[in-house]
Amino acid sequence: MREPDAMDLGRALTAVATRVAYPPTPTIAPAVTARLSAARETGVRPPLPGLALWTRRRLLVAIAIGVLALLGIAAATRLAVGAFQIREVPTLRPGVTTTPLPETIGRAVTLDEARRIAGFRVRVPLGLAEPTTVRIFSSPFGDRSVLLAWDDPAFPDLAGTPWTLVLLELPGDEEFAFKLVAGQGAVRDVEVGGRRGYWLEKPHQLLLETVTEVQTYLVMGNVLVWDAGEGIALRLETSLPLRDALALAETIR
Amino acid sequence: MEGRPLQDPELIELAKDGDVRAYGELVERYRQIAFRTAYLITRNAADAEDAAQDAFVKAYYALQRFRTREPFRPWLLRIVSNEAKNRARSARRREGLTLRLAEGGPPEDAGPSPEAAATLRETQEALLAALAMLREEDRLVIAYRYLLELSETETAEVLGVRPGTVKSRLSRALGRLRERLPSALGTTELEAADA
Repeated sequence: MREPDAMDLGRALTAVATRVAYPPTPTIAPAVTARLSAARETGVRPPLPGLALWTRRRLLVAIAIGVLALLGIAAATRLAVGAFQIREVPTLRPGVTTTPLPETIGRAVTLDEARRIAGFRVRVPLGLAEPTTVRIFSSPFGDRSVLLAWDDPAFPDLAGTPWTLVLLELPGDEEFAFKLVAGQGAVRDVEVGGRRGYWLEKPHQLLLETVTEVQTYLVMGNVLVWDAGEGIALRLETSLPLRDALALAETIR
Repeated sequence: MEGRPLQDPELIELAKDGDVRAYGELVERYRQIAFRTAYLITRNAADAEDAAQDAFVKAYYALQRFRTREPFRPWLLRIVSNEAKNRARSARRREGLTLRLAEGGPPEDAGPSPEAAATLRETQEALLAALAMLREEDRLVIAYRYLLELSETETAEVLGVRPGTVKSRLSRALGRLRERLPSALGTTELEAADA
């Protein structure tokens, strides 16, 4: 009888591998995600190096709104559509960044990737080519949000950006996009496809909170914000006038 | 979610962005091998579950240091392995590793006769018993490579050694395993176990 060599043993062990009776594998994912979510809520540990604690970020949003509104919050009119909150404030604080949104937020993906990753139906206007830029980012509540931008020359330029259209798609009812508009009456009630929305023509400020940061932008274009149904709020930024913007919004599916 | 399931790198990128649900999908994908890795070290199911859970939490916080295009499995299992070793040290358990064969034999078409099936079972049980008798360093290199079916590269990463070290360590460990097998167990029986 020949003594088994390493090859014999290796093959026999590999054959045994499928027959070992390990204890049943416990369900681990719910406990892990609950611990991570709880840690974020309490600010126990930041998910990213150098990142302010989540609770601190929430505070930062409140402070930023307060500063930008120059103590006008108490008198501000507050409107909300899904994840968007709109405040009419007496004046805007000058000097906020004018960096175009698509270049700084989240990470770049293709439209197909966005559709797979988003967790909701990503909408685009009918008849347009694929967006030039698609970015995906996580909201502070863990939902994925999508930003699409086009440089289609059929539309007028958006001042301060390389784009002609920007569409932001935010899920959920928890507010994490704050728009500050100067002056009473700067926001018009509108309807898009029978759903509630708002139209903002004046330059305004946008505070966008992601899971990693809070960014502030000065928006020079016109903006249509509306409830698109299925728990999604849309924000279309364009230099088109209201009537044309509404017509375009009606094609977004 | 629409379309095909997301690949590891996509889930990892989302998790790096703080997407806890995406990370939950990764946990679900790797929980079995993580738990088994921990069990081979802690030798106790409850400790293995705790170790695996803690390791997944630690891995989440370490994701920013992980290069997304690298294989996630060995990187994760190294964290699991370290966590399980820490837990085993603090538990100071004296119980040995108990690995048993699952009830029932291999599929009927794999065994030519009841006698052959019984011999096969005895051989495989002897292998597991011999494995359990090895010291931890030998036991783990064999278990990672053959029971968990990790590649040599993955085994090296989980053990924190160079791939060449895995080869030599494995060779020595198999030698010591052979010494612990019943003397009656020769190549014929092992070949039958491999059938």
